Amino acid sequence: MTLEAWDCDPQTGALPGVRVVGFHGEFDGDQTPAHSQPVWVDDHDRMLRIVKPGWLQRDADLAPLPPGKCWVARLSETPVPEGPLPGVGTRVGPWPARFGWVMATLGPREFNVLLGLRMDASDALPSPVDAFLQWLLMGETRSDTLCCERIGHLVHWYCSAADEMELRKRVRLVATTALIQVAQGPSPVQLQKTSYWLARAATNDGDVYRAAAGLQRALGGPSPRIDSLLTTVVHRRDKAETASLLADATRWLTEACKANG
Amino acid sequence: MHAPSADPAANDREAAADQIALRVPLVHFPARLPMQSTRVLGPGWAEWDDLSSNSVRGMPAGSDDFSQLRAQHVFAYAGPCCYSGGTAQAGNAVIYLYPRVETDREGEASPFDSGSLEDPARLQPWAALTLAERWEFLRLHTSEMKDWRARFRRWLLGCYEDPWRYLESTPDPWDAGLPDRLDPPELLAHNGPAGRIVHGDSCGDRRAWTWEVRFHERVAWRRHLQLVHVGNAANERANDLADDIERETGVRPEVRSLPHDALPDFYSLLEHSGEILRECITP
Repeated sequence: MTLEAWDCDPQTGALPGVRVVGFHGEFDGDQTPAHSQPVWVDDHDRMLRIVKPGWLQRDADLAPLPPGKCWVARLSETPVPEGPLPGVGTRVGPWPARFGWVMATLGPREFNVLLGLRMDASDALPSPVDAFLQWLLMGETRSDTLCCERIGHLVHWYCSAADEMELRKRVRLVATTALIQVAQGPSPVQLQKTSYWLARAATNDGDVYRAAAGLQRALGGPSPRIDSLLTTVVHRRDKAETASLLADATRWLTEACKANG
Repeated sequence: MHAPSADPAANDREAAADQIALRVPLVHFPARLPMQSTRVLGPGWAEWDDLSSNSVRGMPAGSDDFSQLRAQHVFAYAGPCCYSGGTAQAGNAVIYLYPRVETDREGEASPFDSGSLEDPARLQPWAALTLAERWEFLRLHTSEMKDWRARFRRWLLGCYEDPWRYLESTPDPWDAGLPDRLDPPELLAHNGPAGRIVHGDSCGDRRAWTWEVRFHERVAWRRHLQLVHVGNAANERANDLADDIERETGVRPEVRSLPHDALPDFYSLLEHSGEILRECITP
């Protein structure tokens, strides 16, 4: 691994000479929404990693860089082969790389509620998220302007971390509403699926606890699946606090179901 | 187990080394394949009964000692999952196997990554030696499967004032879990942060002080799976796998996911590895 100080446009985050050719991992239709780390390559198709601040701790070479520079680690001296990415990766793009951008992935579950994800932006220019959702509605395969591509039953969008978060917030709102509706219905399987959907769309730990409450209701009580889901919270708590937060979320779901009639 | 001493700090050190050496799981990225079946790569490793060496799978291998070693074994770390993320992305899931997986198994272990002695070698200063000399160095530091945990315990006490630091998986691959001492001392002087000053990036990282355990031919992973670690989006799938294994073996492996705000890749799985190991050792 070789480290280099790389040019990085302080305004746009553009990294000259770096392209995005895919992302780490591979998702299926029941694993969305998802966000993932892009796969970057240089002009010679050699794999890179954009180094986040603090990654390397004691290296004297890694003094803070001035604006307009960022650290890039060259992971290999040999080019990434054409075709499917080696290991567990998905090839999309190529698109010009930007510092701090990520890959967002949506699937059939989100496509079914696309209209619910759009904001009423009649008085303003569409945000990047709205432009992406508008593109999705048009059913096209690929846009190099928006950096998005439809592959099979999934759509991948290379976007800023803020836009990915905004997109996920919108999915989370729809998933929360769906959870309340499904929790009143007769199908534990559908409730389990919807709970996992909300967990994947989580933008804060509260969402995970609400998803866990849905899962608990679907499974009829405590389960290792609930403990496992709660490992996705950012701020881990001790057993008592976790139980208390789960109880709060369970009460919230009960009240929301009542309010929803 | 150690005999108690009058010094509480020494007792704590000994107790830590005892626990780690006895309980550290064996950590493996299964074969750079996804956990679940996929469109592009076909069946995922979750459908395999065993993890098998390249020779068992009929894959060709070179004739030198290192190539034969690689062909005939399944590799795991007794420590953080610091396998190189290099050119090919390692799998999107990490498995942690109970120590009992070693029972009655042929195999061996060494206190550093054997691959770093293969061409192009990175473990300094041995990288400059001939392949035969590097092989000799590896054999000198290799223990048989049945003995390695006792040697690992002594190694932990010899290398760390606080043995728990061995499990550190902080993001810097050259710095994480850096020992206070190593035997031979050249390992510490020529690899890690000190090695980078002398050799640049062509020196060993954390793998220069992470124990590697090598199983001969195959590992029945499903019966010995302690924990599987995946990204947030794969939590449901991994729990389906845990259900299958519980039905099959009567024991449910734990499923851990990355936090919902983490971008899942080799590095994020590695960064959480130390914390998971601690929880496996001290449940």
